[in-house]
Amino acid sequence: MVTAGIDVGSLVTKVVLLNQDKIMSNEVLSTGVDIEGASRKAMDAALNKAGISLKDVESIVATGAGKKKVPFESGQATEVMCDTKGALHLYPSIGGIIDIGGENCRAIKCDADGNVVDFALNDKCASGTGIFLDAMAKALRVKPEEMGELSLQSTQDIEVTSMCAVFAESEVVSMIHRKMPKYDILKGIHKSIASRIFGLANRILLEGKIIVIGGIAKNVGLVSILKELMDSELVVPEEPDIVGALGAALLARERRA
Amino acid sequence: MTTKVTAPGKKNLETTLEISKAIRAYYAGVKLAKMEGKPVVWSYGLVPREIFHAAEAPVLYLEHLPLMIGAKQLSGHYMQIAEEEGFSRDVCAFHRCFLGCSVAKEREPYLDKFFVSPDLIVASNLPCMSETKSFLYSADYHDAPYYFLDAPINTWGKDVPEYAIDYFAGQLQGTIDFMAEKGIHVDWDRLKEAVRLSKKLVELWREIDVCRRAVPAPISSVDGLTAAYPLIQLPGTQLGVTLFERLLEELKGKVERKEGVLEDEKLRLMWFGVPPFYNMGLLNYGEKYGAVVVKSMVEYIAGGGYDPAILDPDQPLKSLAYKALIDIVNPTAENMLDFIVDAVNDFKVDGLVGVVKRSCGLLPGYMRLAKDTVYENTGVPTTIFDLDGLDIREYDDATSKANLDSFIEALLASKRR
Amino acid sequence: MGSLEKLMDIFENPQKEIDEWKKDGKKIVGHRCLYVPEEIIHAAGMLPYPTFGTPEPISKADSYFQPCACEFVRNIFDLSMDKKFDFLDTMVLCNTCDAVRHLYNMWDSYIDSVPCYMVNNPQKMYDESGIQFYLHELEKFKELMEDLSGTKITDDALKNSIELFDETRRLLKELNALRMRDIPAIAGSEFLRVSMASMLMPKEKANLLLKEIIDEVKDREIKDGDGPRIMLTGSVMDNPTLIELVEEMGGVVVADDFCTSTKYFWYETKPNSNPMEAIARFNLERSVCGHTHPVSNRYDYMNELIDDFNVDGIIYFNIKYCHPFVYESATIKKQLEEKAPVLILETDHSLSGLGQLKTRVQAFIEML
Repeated sequence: MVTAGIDVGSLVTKVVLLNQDKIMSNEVLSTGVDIEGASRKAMDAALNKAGISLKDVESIVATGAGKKKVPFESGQATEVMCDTKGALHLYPSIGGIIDIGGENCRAIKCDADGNVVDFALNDKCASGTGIFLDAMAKALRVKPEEMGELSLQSTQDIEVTSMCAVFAESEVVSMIHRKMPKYDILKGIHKSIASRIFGLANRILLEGKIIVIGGIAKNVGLVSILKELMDSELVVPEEPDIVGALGAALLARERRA
Repeated sequence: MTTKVTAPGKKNLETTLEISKAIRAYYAGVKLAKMEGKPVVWSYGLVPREIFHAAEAPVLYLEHLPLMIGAKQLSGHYMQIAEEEGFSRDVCAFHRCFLGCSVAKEREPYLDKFFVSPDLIVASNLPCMSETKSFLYSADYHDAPYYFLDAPINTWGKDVPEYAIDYFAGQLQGTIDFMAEKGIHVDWDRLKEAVRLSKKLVELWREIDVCRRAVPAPISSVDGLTAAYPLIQLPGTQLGVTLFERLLEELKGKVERKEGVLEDEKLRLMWFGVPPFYNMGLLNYGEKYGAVVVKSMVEYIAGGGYDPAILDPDQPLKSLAYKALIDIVNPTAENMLDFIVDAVNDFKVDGLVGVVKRSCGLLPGYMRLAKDTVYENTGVPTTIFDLDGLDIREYDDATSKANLDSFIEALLASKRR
Repeated sequence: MGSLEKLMDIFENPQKEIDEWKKDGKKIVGHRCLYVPEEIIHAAGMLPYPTFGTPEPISKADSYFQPCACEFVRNIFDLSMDKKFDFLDTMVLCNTCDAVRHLYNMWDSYIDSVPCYMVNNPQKMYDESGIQFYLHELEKFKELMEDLSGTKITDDALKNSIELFDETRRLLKELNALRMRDIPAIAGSEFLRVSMASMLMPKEKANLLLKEIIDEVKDREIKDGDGPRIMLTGSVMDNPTLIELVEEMGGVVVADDFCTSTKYFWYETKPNSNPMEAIARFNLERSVCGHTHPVSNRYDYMNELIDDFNVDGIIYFNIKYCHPFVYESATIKKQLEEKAPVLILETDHSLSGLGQLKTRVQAFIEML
């Protein structure tokens, strides 16, 4: 049975095609303003890669902030549910999940059987998420995808204390004016986000083996600080951004069965 | 991706419609009194209403007016006015809204039905400590004298010492003296009668509460919040008692007939924090999954949480002082936490929904403690998210619903196990 | 090292004072807010220690407090979770704002290493029934301090402590008065450090150093001391960053109405044969904090400062979600503007968004 999961995030749309429990193909592209168009485009690309057509897909579950606008879904599920399904598929025994996306960040706590026992979604304030990092990258004139790597070259600790994205931005600008080393500022930014995420995880007392997913999980600088902060084993899957979509595809299969 | 999709709440009771009428009639009476030249009081906080009713004083309540215009989605406009006057967005949305109404050059016709300027102001720091100060601005603006009723924080739980009761009772006497100077006289016998009626009211509320515990729940908190109006604003009146008698009768019928909000009730939720008055439909949102909000903590402010036996009509001021000081929202947390744990048990609650109004200095402070205490004592989980009950400009429909979706989904999954 | 330097050093490294005090097994009672009666703690032979925050970012506390709780209180709780206050034998709070009330709830529930107590002070000042209520609370507090220290608190001990603390207040006020001059003898940023260091160290020692400092600086004139005369006021100010920023922009901070400075020492205890009543009246007849009622006394106090220090402009500093000040700021701005222009700065406790503040402060000073 072929099923699909589509995760329409605020910045990036992800599709995973699944044959039984094997991934056939996946696609990741930016969402933009036309959610419907982006979801069609992402689905078509994944179908192309797998060499099948939409009618071959028996069931499609949509998740993510834009899940209600996917025209071809056969069902919807929450991001919390899909993240958990996906992560449990990759790692049979986990304590919880941290998902860091474009506009959202969430922490999910699982019990020994993989059931969701608690979760926390970030408040609407943007700090602690991808959009905040993008703004900081712009201020520092570096590419967002290189920020993490660059921050590892930091030699001294700088604190970015503002939790508010607006305040933090002006704080960073003043650091740039004071000619503080870029690497150190980057590390400071990552530290401030990491502590924010740590706070979120702490809210639900996350512990044990924690799977870090979402687009920002690729940021090695951020994950390394999170590892330092949290007294837990942190694991980043090979493709952390498609875990939610994978979970959606697994759920599509489950619901069909 | 902020969308604003709001809906009014669904009500199931005849009596709550009557209560809504009583609210409108009350404020029409206040308006009329003003036109007849009677002095009008503005009040805020848990100033015992029995005193006002015993003096037949027309009173406009700071926490109630914003709620009424909030339901008509007019609150944002008046908050804006207060912000332009220099009030920070950190100031409680209710206060900002009321301040805006207070100083607005023009008022919407709907607001104008209720709004009257003050001749005197009586405010208390119970339950919120700093918030009374916003009234000083209005006092200046309307040139109205101001009495501040100081309540000590409850660090004693239910065993409030005599000296604390004396202090607050003294403040109540001060309030009575202050009102007398402005021509509002509290009749002592009427005050005793008011305390007797207040006691009756709480007894009825307790019976109502027992009915509401039935499975399936006969009403949701959407009705409950309107039903709480007599408890909060009409203690000490025969009208309050009559309304509650009818409410009780109607509820009993529903329970006997096993009429629930939902035929197939799967989950029972309790709301903790200020509900979205501009979008009460959010309390019905879970119903599509079989989840009913059976109870809301704010329905129990001002008297829902105590034993009516503490009210002694022969000692009206001391009784009212004691009632105020042990209120669940008078910090510290002990009384509040006891109340929530009991409610979760009595109402067979499956999950607690905690909403954080950023401009509130009081309720968000309890969230973590409530979550942990309820979990430790009952195993019931809590979800916590941001939601400003009055400021529609802060409302984020997608995030609120994402939280409810995920929470209900997890609760249903755990029920299936 | 001169005495000024010594106090500045204590401000930077209070740990040395703590270690010195604890060396002989003596106890330390931490507190937060101006209305905790320090004299009772001292009369039991213990050191009253005001807990200040740090500009560090908050981590653990954010899982306990919602982000809309005052950042200063979250900071204090964060430090206590990190065991930074474990040197305290007990922590005492008082009834000054909802955030502190919740700090009490949280501390009581989640911090096991240091017990926490709340002294219940009325919010209404100058009220006889309030004083009676408060006296009951103070008696209970006195018993607690006696149990904690194992020392009976006598009236004589209380009277000595009152005299000692009043001496500190007098000396700080005398030093502060050197800022009334056309060109102040001590800079605002220096003074805040001196004031905070004096608050946290044993008063016996602080008083000696303060006397020496007054001698040291009384003939000084600070550099660039003839600029616009600024008064700072508002929420708790526990680091000199903002004052330094104003000074950097050419302002001369001649007065600072904070609970870490002028609010602490402006008034002295009035003579009373009953020392407990003297303490009660001292705390309830001093309307310096934003939480107090009635406000008229608070306006009088602030107007007195504006006149005495010949203030040209007022900066009202408001920590985000600091309710006692956020609620009075719009009302008090109107009042104060009759005397001098007012700039309201709403920012976080760590003062991290300085870049943003800078432009506004600069424009304000230029306007003066």
